[in-house]
Amino acid sequence: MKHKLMLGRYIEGQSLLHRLDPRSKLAGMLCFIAAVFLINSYVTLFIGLVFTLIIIVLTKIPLSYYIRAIKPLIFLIAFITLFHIFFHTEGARMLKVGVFSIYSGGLEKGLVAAGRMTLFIAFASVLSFTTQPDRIANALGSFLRPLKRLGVPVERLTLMLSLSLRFIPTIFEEAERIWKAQVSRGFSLADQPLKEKAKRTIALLVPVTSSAFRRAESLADAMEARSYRLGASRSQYRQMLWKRSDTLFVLSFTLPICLITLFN
Amino acid sequence: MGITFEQVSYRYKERALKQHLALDHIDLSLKTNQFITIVGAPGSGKSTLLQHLNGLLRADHGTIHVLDMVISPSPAKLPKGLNQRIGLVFQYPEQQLFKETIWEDLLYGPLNFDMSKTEAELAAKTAAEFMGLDDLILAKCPYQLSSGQIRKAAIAAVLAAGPEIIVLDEPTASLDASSRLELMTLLHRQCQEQGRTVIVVTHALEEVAPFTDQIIVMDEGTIAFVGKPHELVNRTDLIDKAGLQIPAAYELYAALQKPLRLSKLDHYPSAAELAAVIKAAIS
Repeated sequence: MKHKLMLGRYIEGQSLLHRLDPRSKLAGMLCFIAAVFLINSYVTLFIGLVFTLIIIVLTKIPLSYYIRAIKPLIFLIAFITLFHIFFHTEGARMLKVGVFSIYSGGLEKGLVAAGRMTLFIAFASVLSFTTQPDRIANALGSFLRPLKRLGVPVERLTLMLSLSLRFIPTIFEEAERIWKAQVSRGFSLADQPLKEKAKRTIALLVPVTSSAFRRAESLADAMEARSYRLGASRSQYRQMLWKRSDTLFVLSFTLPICLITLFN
Repeated sequence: MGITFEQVSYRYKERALKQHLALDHIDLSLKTNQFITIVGAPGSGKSTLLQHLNGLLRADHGTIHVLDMVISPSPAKLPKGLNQRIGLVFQYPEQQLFKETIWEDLLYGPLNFDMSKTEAELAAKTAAEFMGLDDLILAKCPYQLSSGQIRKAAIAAVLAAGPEIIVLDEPTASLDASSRLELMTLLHRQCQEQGRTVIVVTHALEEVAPFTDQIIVMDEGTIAFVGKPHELVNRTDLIDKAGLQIPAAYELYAALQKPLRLSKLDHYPSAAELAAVIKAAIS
């Protein structure tokens, strides 16, 4: 079960990426999204890929972890790719399969779309693998703080986000326990038709969801019991510290953005 | 037929990049039809060891023989019937009950193991009766039960499938003293009357000592001790490390042994037994 649920997990480590300020990683992520949106050809995809691989190497987390994070979304990626391949009619016709024709433009669009999505997931994994969930929420809170003046309930949003992020691993663990309890009592997805597989997966989701609700309720009570109030001033245990390496990290994203713009 | 671990090692892969071995070349041989207790400090590998017994976790190296089945490291297939013959009750019983009612939950295992509806109902009924769950409880949703009832239901759900070995991870946690004793007595009866092997992980030596045939102490993924419970008494190093407490009745017995010239004991006495011995010695 755990092998299937890698996305959104934090993996302990001592790499450069682990030590960076969460704000710089979040800013880097935004730059990276911009770069990924600019990608629209094989060459620019290659540039994005090389840059992502460099970042992945810097995390000192084996590539297999990233592959496992991408795996659950493989059907979505395949669907997007095939959609482009079969419904884009730009470029030269390469192949005719029944009523469908495959064009070089469609093939490029399909593969680039798949590549963009893969890069995006890989980079989102870099952020979650190297940053504890509450630190991501703190960073986001600090980015959103100026919006408070405009009446945006920043604190409420940050609390919601930090709690949801905090419970990702807990809910995974709980799902794993329920899964194990079911497997021990003869539950199996192997050799089952697709319909039965879907039905049995729902059998897993129901107890996980209901348990998440119960947990949320007791958490709210526990926070209230310890005098948590929205909007009250409070100090932080972990202070965020922006260093030179953080500035360099964010600046390094200008390189792929420039290169991708140049080769577009 | 028994349970044998041969050089079994296991490492958790996903928790952190560098993980120590959760099981470190374990060699262990256990007889069946016994009440076996596993103790050890948190993180010593107890739960990991249990989950190897029914193939939920697969060893990186080594082979496990359970009854007449052999569990080899992945990708070798798991023996047929493994999950049915070895029942596992997990630490958090509330997460093991996932059907709308307890009754449906009791039927879940037997039906998965291809029993007919009538057979499954009979098995569920027998298990429920054994654990003292009445029809009123069986009709309830798991979340409406007390923690003691949930625990009994979780054990009944595993018993219903008719396992030859029943493995329980901290079955008495969060129970009060009388429920603990009741549960241990029920489990001991499973061993005595039904000839089942019962394996229990616990922190409380006091509650299992009277029932245990063999005790295993685990330490940092290795087996530090295998023997009769009373043989553990002099191993204060292990007792401290595993966070155990010698039963109070035994400590009192040991303290009175010299002044009252009591003979050496080969088991942990119950409070009643101790009272009888002292009474006899002073009269």
